[in-house]
Amino acid sequence: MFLRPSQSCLRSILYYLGKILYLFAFLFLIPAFIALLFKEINPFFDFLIGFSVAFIVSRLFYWLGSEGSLRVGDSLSLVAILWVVAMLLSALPLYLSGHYGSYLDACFEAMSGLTTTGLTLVQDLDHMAYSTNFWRHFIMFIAGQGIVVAGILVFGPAAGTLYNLYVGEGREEKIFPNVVNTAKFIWAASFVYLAVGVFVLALVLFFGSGISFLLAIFHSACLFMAAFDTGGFTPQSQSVLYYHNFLVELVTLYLMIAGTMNFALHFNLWFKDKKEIIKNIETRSLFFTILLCWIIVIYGLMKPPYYLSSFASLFKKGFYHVLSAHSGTGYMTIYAKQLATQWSEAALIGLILAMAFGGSSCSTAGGIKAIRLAIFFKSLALEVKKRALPSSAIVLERFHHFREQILNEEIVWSAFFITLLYLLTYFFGGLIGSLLGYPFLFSFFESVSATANVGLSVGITNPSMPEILKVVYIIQMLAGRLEFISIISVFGLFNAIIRGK
Amino acid sequence: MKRIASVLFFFFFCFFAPCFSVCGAEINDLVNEPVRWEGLEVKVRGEIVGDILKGEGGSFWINVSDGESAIGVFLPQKLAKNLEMERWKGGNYLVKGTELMIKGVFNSACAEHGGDLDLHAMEVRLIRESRSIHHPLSFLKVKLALFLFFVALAFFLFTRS
Repeated sequence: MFLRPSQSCLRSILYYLGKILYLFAFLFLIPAFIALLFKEINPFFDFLIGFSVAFIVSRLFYWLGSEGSLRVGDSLSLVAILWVVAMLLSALPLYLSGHYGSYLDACFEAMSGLTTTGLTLVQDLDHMAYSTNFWRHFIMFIAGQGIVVAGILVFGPAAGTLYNLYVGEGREEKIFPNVVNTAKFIWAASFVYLAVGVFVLALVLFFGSGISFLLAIFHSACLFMAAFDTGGFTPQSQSVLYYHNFLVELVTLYLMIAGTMNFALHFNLWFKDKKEIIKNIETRSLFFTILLCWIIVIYGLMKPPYYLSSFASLFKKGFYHVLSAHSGTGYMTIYAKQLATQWSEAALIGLILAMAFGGSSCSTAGGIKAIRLAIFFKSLALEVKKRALPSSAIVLERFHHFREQILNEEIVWSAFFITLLYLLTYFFGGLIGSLLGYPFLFSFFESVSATANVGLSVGITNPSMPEILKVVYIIQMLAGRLEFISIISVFGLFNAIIRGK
Repeated sequence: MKRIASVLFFFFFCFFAPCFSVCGAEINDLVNEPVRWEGLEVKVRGEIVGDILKGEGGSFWINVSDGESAIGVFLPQKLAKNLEMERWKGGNYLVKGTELMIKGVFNSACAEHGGDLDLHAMEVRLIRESRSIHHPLSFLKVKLALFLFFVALAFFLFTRS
């Protein structure tokens, strides 16, 4: 029997929803300022409309709600609802820009940005207003670190009980015992990388490519936000290929690696033990799977159709796309159609595996995550040991993840459960695409890309794709970003409201 | 014998003529069917988008769009120094970029440029100068924005207590 949530519980959800959206509303003013800077008058009013609507919605929730404690399930549901409302609001200036065929397309773009996926339905991107283009990347930066993480930072003192919200956004690890300090570090690290990343990229674009100073800053800010947050949007339609600059590829490679690393690992590298990068099972797992996928992709590229003539380009293209896929970024230095027509099935399978595996936990990357894969293989090793030794023997499996830990059933079950949900969602999306008439390998590729928040595409994602598939991918992107638990909780909440007693 | 020769000539013309001529192509076709156009001399028409980028050793890169897809065009130093590039402007929100007709060799994986898909220009002709794009102010948007802004302000004052 389900228990219907009490009035006070629902009011608490509205209260916190309103509070976090209140902060979100003010973010619309940043691109509004950029619109004025670039003399883009209509986009300025698009953002003013976005700000006003977001402000009214947030105040309405805040006014209707009341402060109170939240149960775990309600906190998780709140996160899922928050992300859907954030998508609807972020899509408003995108839709008003006239670069999207429908509001659904704008919502798809907004969800792709918020979840740092990078799949896009934009039309005529090369003539988009700078402010609107900035907004696409800016929502990646904000939501990449976490909307709730931002909320916790701003409303810190009142947020002591909001740990469950933090978990609901697909994060479990606390760098500090206090979740507010954890949020502070995540944002501080991101801003340090922002400053360094934008500076280096601007230098490369200004001196290397001859782009004007203001535009070099604009491009580097957009590239940084999408690379570090493993998002994958770019300001121009040709992705990273637009720049024809090897240094840009190198810097974005570095940013993708930084973005896919656990924030706790950043903390360790900066302030504690630098050897953690070698000792940590998550980094080892990441290194091993990147290497494995790279070998598969190179093997695949050496099979027909042989389109890369030199070994150098074979290694370069292979490595860039494996890392782009594995980190969940989705930057491309080839065209989507080339993946479909010039990459062999083996190479595509290598990329699918890289996307499916994903990056580190407590990072901006998506996918199953390196730590879960490591736990999976550790538990296999444990089973083998148990069978090899006498039944009276006590067998323990240890692993190092910021501290020495012993593998137990709870850890294994949790890793298996989330991994299973990812695999089912990958398959489900592939099946839907296949039923709609796309070849299974391609639809599976796109489905994994959406769920693991990657953004690589074989060309299925475009404005003329079936509407139903757009909705499916929106759900997949959200489910993958929040690691399913919040989505399950929100279904539980609605079920309890309707059927509960 | 003459008849056989003419039939042979006809078949030869049909199958091999494209190899010896410059093919007119849409950029969208090049990008979507790279295998078909690999290594061929093609002629494309499109608008420069974004910036004119410096390459190595006095060469330049431009990105040219036909409205659906864009492609990187490599302008070697020898060609670039004879072009009036200072007159060119890349398209953006406020500018419709310079329109060019470009003859060049299409590479789906250019060995010289790390396997990138590109077009190596041999001839560039200016078709149309860049021009500014006028975006008329949408009064509906202005009215809606101001109305919602004041509603938000009023609602804030109403709920502040």
